[in-house]
Amino acid sequence: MAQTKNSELIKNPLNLNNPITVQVLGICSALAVTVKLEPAIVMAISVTVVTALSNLIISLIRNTIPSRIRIIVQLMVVSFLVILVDQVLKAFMYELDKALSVYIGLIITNCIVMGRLEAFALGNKPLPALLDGIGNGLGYGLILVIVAFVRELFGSGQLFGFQIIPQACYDLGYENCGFMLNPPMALILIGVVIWIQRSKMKELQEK
Amino acid sequence: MNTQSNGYTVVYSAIMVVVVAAALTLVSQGLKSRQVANEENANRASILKSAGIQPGEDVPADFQKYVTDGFVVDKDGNKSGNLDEAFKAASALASKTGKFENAEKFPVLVLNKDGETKYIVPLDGAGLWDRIWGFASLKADFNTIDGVVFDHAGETPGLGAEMTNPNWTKQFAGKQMAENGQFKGVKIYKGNASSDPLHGIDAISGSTMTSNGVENMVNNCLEKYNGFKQKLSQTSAASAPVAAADCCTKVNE
Repeated sequence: MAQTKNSELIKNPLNLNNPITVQVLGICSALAVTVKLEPAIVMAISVTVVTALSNLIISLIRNTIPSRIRIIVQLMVVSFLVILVDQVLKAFMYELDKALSVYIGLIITNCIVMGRLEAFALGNKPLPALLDGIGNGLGYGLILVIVAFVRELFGSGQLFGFQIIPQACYDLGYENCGFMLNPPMALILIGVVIWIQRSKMKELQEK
Repeated sequence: MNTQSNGYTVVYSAIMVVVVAAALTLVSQGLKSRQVANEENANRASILKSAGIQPGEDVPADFQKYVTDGFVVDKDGNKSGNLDEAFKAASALASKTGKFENAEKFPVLVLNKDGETKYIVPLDGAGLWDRIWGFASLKADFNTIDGVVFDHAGETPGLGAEMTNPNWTKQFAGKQMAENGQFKGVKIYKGNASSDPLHGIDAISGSTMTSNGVENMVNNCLEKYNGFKQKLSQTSAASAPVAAADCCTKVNE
């Protein structure tokens, strides 16, 4: 396998090989937790922690895993980390944990995590695997934050729960776009992000 | 070493399970006290909300300010215990660790809002998919609902999950539990709930099972307090001649 530079392991998933917009993985949670910025950021951090640490752990034990049960071993490591994240959130960020409800648990089934373990961590050294995990988590988080930013700003006129659009605008007849708060809008926004990215990057365009 | 042999695979998975289980147990034990404290605070906030008080940043301080007394009652209405005990029991019922059906003592919290006495009791029941629970605030007569707060573990979003929506729960305010000394409770209607202004609640559209679950939860739980209610009305009739006089003048009119 051609050795990719470590810096590219972090940079690529943010951009050229973004898990959501290019690999189209992990869409479900991107639709569900992007109504507000705060839960989106917590979700992004949680996924980054899980992808990074699971990549690291699997890479460390990659030579000892019996190949017949490797998926089960991966699943076990991922579930362990997700339960860990959930417990920590319950103890330190109770309200946010309630807001994210089942989606923290569903990180287990987030295709990004298993996808990176299978495709990268099983065949690479711990450091590149860790970086690849961080990169993919951040790439996922970046899209989440972009979508949540647009949805919260135009859907409720707020960012992080603080009113951004001044009352004067409402007095002039401006109204929050309720459609922004519905899941279909997240799908449309992700579509728009993909469209912008493809039109900017020649590498991604199909001939 | 042959990592593909059956023996290796079995031993490997066994060690893996033990290590992961041990690590999770440690984490869970270490964080438990914080998690319980968080849940208790959430329950304190729900208790205040059921009585129409919006808790501020410092929930425990608000709770201390408004909730003046607490006790547990048995099915005959005999009081025992203190506020701390009552809150722990109510919190356990609301946090899945206790079950109403099996309980023999039922917690009551006494709340004072602007000089008005309210009784808060916990609720616990079954929705369509999972547990539902909440708190009901009753007026001083222990018969009229003052307000309710519900929560659920897994009702369908957009349908059954709407049971927590204040626009739906506000219907419970003012409903009467008993009529002519008989327990009647609330009743869920599919439309036309206004024909029964003292007991009728409009069901949540598309959520018959959840709505029925809420009806059963409210009625089953509040019925357990019948004994206490009778005792309460006896003592208040004896110790409150003013109220008695009020009722007589009304009759005379």
